[in-house]
Amino acid sequence: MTEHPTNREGGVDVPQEPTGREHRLADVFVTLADTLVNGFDVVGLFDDLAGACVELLEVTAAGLMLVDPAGRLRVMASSSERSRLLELLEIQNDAGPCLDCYHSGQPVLIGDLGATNGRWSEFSEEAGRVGFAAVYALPMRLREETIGALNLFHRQPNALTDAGLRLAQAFADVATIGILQQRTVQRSADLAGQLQVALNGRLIIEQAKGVLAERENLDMPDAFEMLRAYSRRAGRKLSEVAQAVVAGDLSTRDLTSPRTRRENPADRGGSSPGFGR
Amino acid sequence: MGADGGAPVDGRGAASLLDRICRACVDSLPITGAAVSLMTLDGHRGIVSATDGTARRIEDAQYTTGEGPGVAAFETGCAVLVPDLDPSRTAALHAWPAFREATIGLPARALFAFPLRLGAASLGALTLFHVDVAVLEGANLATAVRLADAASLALLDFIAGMSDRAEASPSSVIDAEYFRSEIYQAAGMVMEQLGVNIEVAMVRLRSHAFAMGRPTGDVARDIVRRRLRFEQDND
Repeated sequence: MTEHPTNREGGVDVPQEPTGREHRLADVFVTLADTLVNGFDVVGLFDDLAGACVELLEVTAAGLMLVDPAGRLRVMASSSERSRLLELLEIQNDAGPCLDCYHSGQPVLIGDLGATNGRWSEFSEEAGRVGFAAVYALPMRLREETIGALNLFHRQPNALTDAGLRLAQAFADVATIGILQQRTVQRSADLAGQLQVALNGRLIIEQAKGVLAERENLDMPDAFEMLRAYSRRAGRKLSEVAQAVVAGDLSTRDLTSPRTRRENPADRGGSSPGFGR
Repeated sequence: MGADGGAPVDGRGAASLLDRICRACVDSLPITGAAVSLMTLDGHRGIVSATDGTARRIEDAQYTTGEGPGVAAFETGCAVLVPDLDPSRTAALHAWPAFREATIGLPARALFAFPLRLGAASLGALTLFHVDVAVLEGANLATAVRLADAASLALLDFIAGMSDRAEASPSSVIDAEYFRSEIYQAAGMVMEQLGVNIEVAMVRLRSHAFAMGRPTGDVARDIVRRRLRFEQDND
């Protein structure tokens, strides 16, 4: 985090943000609102949110998890597709801040993982190995029900400000709204159905990654990046692109076609922090 | 699906598991009967399990008319909930005139159908009915979705010809391993390796793991790490 030497008067701890970042924040919310109002794609929205967390909150990594009907936390999106981050998210099904956050419906804020006194030992050790010193889990809540959580990871302890946490909770709330918003598009009647569609959408992404990994001899993160880059370049929904790849309706030539390429291709994915194996 | 001459279709164990899943629907939800049908995109359909004659006739009607809640769920990938089949109370969205015609006189007033999908692999549908007007929501709907998840996996096993699931319970079917990302990544790779569609790839992955006596997740990991390849000629 950049230094914020002055706080606004009157108690609320809002740091003075650099103007560029305020512009980016505005951009991100415009994009999110646009996604919610226009053609809808939960998987793509979640992917955007994970990226926005890293960019605007300056955390090292972010992941969004949804609870499936059997009560398990499943990864819906992460700022890096590198496997160690995914595994770190997934091992929380045994024990971890995300699981506690889901059960309590309250934020679980661990500014210093070194001071947890053996709580979530497996998770803490793995987080340390990946290079994280702090973890924050924020609930995706809908009234009384918690449907998932946003996980933020930071290399440095105690680096996330209160303002940052409030923004993070807003991102988590947008994700919740996104799940609900599907309903109007998909005419499915209830939250359980919405979650099911969202979770299955993520599995389609995994299948599409496999297709591209095999066809192009890519590793899975790069296969995902190919999907994401095309989706942005062509202005098509991520889940729709994945579906088309699995259905065999999108060739590699389509995916890499320069005709849809713009000067400024996907700016985020390639610069993901390196949690490489 | 299955047209590539994969594993022999025995599937009795998986079928009885599907029977138990349908039975669990009736036992745990405010509904009268349940059925699971296998469907393919080119219109092939078959009833795999039904708890009673009415459930079976609803499936038959969907098969002959090519429409109805199960067909709609299969095609759209979304749950289709019709609390009251009375035309004056149901939106035009669920018109299905031929299906209605074919089910006149059946003691089924409410219908609920769930897609049986594993990612992009569309396998069939679970259709529930109730003799009277009924609403499926909240915890009941979550239970139905969970049982539909179990049915998706059991249907995959059925297609893969698995026959040793006699002792599996509906809840034990949905173990975490089935939803591991690597299984879906591996299925995408197998699709390319064999030149088959995603449904067949999922089935081949599952039947290979079964034949080797290994967890599907372990086989999937080998494929993703390129230690194992499926070849077009064997396996």
